[in-house]
Amino acid sequence: MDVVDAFQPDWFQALADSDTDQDSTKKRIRRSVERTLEYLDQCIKRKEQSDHLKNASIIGVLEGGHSISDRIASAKETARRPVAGFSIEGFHNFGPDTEAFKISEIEELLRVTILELPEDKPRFLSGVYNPLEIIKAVKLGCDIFESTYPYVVTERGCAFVFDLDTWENKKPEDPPNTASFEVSLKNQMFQNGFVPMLKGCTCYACQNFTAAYIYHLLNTSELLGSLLLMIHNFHHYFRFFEVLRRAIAADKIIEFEEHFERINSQPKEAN
Amino acid sequence: MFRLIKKRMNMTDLTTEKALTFHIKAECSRTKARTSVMTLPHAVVETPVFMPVGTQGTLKGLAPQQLDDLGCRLMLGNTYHLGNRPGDNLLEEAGGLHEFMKWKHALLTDSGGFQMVSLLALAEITEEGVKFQSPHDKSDMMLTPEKSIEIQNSIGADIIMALDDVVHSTVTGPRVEEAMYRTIRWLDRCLKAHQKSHCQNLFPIVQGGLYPELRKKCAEELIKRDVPGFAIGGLSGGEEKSEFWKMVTLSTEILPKEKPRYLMGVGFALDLVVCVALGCDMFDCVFPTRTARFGVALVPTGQLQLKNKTYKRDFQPIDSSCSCSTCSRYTRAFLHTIVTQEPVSCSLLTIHNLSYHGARVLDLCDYSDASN
Repeated sequence: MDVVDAFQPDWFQALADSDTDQDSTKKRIRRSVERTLEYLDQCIKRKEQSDHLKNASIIGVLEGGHSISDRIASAKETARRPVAGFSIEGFHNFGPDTEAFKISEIEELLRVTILELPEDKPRFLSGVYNPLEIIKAVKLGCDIFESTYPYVVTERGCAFVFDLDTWENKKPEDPPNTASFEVSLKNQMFQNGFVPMLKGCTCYACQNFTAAYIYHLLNTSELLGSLLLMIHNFHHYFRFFEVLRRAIAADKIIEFEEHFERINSQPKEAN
Repeated sequence: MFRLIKKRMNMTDLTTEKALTFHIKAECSRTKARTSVMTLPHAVVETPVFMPVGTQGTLKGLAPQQLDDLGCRLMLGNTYHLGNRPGDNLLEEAGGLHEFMKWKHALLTDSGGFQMVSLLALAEITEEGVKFQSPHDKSDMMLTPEKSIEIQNSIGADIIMALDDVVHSTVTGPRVEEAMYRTIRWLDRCLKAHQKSHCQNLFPIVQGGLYPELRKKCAEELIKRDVPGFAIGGLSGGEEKSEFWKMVTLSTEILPKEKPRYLMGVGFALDLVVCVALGCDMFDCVFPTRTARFGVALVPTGQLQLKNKTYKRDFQPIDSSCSCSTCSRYTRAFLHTIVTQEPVSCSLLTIHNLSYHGARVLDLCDYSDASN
């Protein structure tokens, strides 16, 4: 809390024990739930005494590993505290395998957790999630995500190409525009690709440079390569969320999800 | 093959139809310094000018727009590297380097010859040209004057350099004379091979090591050829400063006043000041951009090694008199936390160092104007 006090954030997460995963023992899980609540109470007390944090919002962290009963207990107890939002953690350890993690593996756990939470406070779900997983989490009631996914995609030299514009007009039997969410700009097929990475994309990279140039930059390990990829990937990821919000408002989240299911189920080419 | 030819000519050029015009605005009364305006197909450039080095078709960590915002109108690309990757055929297909890297201002490419000095262990120099072993895939590459010009024609820079036989400035003996005469012969081969003199300006390079008679002979020969400008090469390689500036001033005595003089590979701020006073107009050096990547910021009083703990709590900008985007936003303390760690620190320091170097040169312009 000394550190938080010095940073003067708008929102901050209370210190928590989220070090559980699907293999954790009941005893470990229970301890993480209890400890997290102890920390939360201390943080709340400290926040109330701090000038810097008077107007800051505290986020309570929900634990419970992969145990339904502990999840319910953690959610119930945390919801009783004066927190402004909830971060749902303790499912995995955020290592390199996180990208393979599927929301479907924790669907029931999320459902019982969110049932205990008030409607008018946001729910954070951090972790590396592709568009399809995001939609599944949103359907369960999650609101806020983070941007590790575009970052790891950039780090491997890839660019997002999933379609955000024509999905509404497509019939279920129409094939999607792409076979995957991303393409690798290190692939030699882009060496003389004198077109933008993603047709119609309005980001700085696609409006100004060709895939061939970005291929060259990555091939020569030039810093500008990952800069341009990062700009593109953030741009596209943020656009995804805009389109997602519109889809929810238009009651079309199921169709939006099906669109991504179709991309995901395409046979994958070697990248 | 579909070839795009982009030519943006200044209005005055339509009457003269030259790819380069050079107008001296003011001359210093006490030194050989002058301020001028050089008009090239892609830009109007005020001289003296410092050219950043974008070796592989990019300035490390900067988008072209950022370079544009710094006021840069002329930058370098390296023929040896670009000829390798992405290759001259691809650049031809892309419509030239301007189009490929989306740089709308002027470009200058070197001949690929400097690599001879730096990669000498792998190079064999004959009258025909230079045989390299590519450091990337160990394949053999032969760089003849004709091939150098061919690659540079494909790249499409506003100014291109003749392939010269450059020896390191610390080399002595008959090799220096041999290289000097070969440079002249190679220049004539370059001129013959050059296909685009209407939109690309070929500069020859004065060689001759640290031997005044050789430098003199070389310059006298070069000025007999019909070329739009000249370069002075083979210096700034670690020779004694007292020898260095003598060779520079000797060259500028002979080279015609009404054409630009490009001093290759120079340099540090002090060298810029001295060589402007000796009559040079164009400079290039990797120093400001390379040192940025090591976390060093250039300031009027010297250098700041921002990794140093001294800056941990220093909440000033790098230079409070600097108006670059880095100095208007970030403190030394913040930069201290990210230098050599986060890629963005490279971009931030590069912006500042180029702004600094550019500003130093502009100061010299003001001085030259004022003292007239």
